[in-house]
Amino acid sequence: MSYAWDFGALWSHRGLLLEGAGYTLLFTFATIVLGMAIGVVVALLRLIPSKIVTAPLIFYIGVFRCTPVLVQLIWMYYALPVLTGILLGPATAAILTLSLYGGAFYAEIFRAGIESIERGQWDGARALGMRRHAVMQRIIMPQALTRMVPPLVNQCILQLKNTSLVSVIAVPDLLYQSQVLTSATYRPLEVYTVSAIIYFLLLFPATMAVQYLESRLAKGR
Amino acid sequence: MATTNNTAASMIEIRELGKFFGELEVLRKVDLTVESGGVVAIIGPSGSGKSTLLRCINLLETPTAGRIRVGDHVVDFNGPKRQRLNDKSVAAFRANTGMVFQGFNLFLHMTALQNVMEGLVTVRRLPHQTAEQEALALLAKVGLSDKAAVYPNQLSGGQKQRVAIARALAMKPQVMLFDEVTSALDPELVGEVLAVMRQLAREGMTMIVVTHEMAFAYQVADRIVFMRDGVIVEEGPAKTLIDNPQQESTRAFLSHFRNGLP
Repeated sequence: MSYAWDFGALWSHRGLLLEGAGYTLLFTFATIVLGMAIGVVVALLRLIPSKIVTAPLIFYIGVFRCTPVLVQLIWMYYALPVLTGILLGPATAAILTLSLYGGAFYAEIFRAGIESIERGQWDGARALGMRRHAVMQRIIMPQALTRMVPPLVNQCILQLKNTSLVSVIAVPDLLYQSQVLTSATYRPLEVYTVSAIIYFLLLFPATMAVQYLESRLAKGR
Repeated sequence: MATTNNTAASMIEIRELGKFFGELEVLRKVDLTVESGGVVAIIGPSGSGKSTLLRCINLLETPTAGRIRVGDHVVDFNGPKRQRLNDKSVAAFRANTGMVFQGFNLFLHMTALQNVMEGLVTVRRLPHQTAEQEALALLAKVGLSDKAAVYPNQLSGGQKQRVAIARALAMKPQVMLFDEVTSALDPELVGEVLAVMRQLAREGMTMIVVTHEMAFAYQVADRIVFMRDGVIVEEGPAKTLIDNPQQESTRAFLSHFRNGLP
């Protein structure tokens, strides 16, 4: 290959990429925390045997799971203000969308985890005279959580990768800064290679953690 | 949930208990009385409603009609008098009726000791140390002192069931309900569980035992109830019912067990 790599220009602008990576991590962290909070609440509400409660939740989960997050992001940023008059800044629109999107998936992971616990565990706890919240807190959740950890970490990995989409509404994340840097340096190959490496370095440890957790869970059975 | 002053000698009193699963009537006007310290075995073909009856007695299933009294605790499921059952009163009712299941239902994330301690700590609200002492004493009673720190996965079926019995006893229930507790066990492990149950019966525990162990029912139960299609077909003293059944369907059912009988 005859391409002459030149990382010199990149190095002098490294602050820009680091700032972008910082934004990416910040957005990931914020949307994971908010998304999980949404997910827990939605999953617990879905256990209530009332269609009035569950139908809107199922609708919410359906909408956010069955449309691309990129479309959701653009819709929230451009269409929502037209329809409602509520104008969201790019960062707000990004966090809101990614949290709701993540929340839909977290809710399903929590629900599946809770439902994977055998009926006998509920029976055993109830027969002792344990109250509803105690059954959930002491018996069901501790067992469900161990089963949820691998899919939850996987979802968090996706969550980080999804933050790259916020660049389309001009949130200065790692990908957005790469675009800025490319137009400043005319070095797209170097810029995108480095930003890909940064993403990889952020996520590789997380995937290793999932593998480790899964093997530990397999042994525990 | 009403509390009455129970002056009658009976410990369990079930009147006209009914249960529907959707359209399906699984229990029809079931009446059953168990004296204090009495041991009643319920036998019958699968689908006869015997497990549902047991699950209704500690409210794991909610009856659709009838009245249940266990000790001083009464629940009434009849028309206008029907009470609203709240989480707290249901829990209190269940705590008074110990239940042991075919599938053990031990908490898999807890050791044998923690399983027995769970109800002591969360329901009876004993301090940790007292709970631990009581739990250890109960494990000793079922012969499993050496297994306190072991998780259910590493116990044999018979050991699991003995932990489950200890866990139920920890609530100091007035009655114990056993739902086919030996059906999932390898034959050589059945004896150790039945031995614990015999011991309980000797100590005067009031027990209802759903079982296919005819020899056990014959030897340990004072009375046997034969159920079929959601009704009690026949009941009587254990030996009378097994040696001299009055109803044709009882005879037909017992004929399958001739070999296993004393």
